[in-house]
Amino acid sequence: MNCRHIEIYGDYYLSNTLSPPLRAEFEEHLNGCAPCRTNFERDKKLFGLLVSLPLPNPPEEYWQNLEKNILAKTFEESRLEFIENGIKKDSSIKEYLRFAIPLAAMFILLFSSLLGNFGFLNPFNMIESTRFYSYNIELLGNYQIQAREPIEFLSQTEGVLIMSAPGNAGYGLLIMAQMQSHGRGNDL
Amino acid sequence: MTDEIKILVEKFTQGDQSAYTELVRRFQKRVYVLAYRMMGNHIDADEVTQETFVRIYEKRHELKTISYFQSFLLRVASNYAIDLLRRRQKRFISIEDETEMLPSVQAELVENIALPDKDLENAELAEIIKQAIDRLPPRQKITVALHDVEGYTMTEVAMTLGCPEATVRSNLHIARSKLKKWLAKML
Ligand SMILES: [Zn+2]
Repeated sequence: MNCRHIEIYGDYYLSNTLSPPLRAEFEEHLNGCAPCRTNFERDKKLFGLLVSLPLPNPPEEYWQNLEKNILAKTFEESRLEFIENGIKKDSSIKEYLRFAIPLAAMFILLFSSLLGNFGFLNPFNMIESTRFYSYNIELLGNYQIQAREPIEFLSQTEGVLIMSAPGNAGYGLLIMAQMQSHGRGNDL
Repeated sequence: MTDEIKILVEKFTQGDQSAYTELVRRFQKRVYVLAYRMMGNHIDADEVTQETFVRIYEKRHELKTISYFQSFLLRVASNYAIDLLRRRQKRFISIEDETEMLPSVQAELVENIALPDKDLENAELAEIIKQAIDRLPPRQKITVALHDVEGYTMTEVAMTLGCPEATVRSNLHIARSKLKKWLAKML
């Protein structure tokens, strides 16, 4: 082992990952080479200082709040965007999704209003009134839902959205059709 | 990645919110500690940690092809921290020009010269080392923080930073040379 090797193997030596024969060679070189020894001693000290830097130690309640804050931020930022007026377009949706999702959504709206239980989502009312709450929902793509009252989102698993709109239709649940990745909407 | 984490990640990619919550619970400290090492203060570390998980949530579909959740998570955290540091750098001073130490730090080093080498209970000493690490450019800093301070292996660091091990090694080498120079009086 030469001086260059010592520089390379120093790390492995310090982290105890050098094989016993190499370890022995390493030590043998150090014993006979003063410059390497000095340099290695400094490395070792630096390493010691770095690993013993104290851990940041915020109060225990910080961790509990952190979890809450992360969850709140995640779902506020990446899921639901409340839009008072107008419909936001998302240009990043793939061509087919842009086409298929509104179509599927229209189908669901129409289907549910025919059933009579989900009148709050009657798409035809949208023409008559502009006083709707509009939600931009990102699941597999981006699509919009409009309702007369704020909608409460209960839970969501991939492609399925469960929500209730108390002010509109009692306490009904609407399960959105499952959107497959190819963008087709299935029946409710 | 343990099987348990694998299952959680798989559920998470399928949109399971409770799996996401569990991942947040399990990994938030690790992300925070790294963020703190990078940013050097609690407020920024908190921001990096929160933003990291929001991004992970947004990138959950990418996780389907990822075999090491922790590396992916720490990579997102490092990238965000590096971005934040670079934005700060532009606004304040250039840390890249780190040939000499700030006079105040130098003075502090001289003052602390009499301290025993390993007396790290001494908050001042830890503070000086922290300041020295803070002066490293972001890439070198993250490499030192992950490998030397937090004890991740060279392979883990390379996976986290998405670069070859040789790059990690060379960044470490440069960073340590600087630290040795700056902290010369202590070593
Ligand atoms: Zn030598």
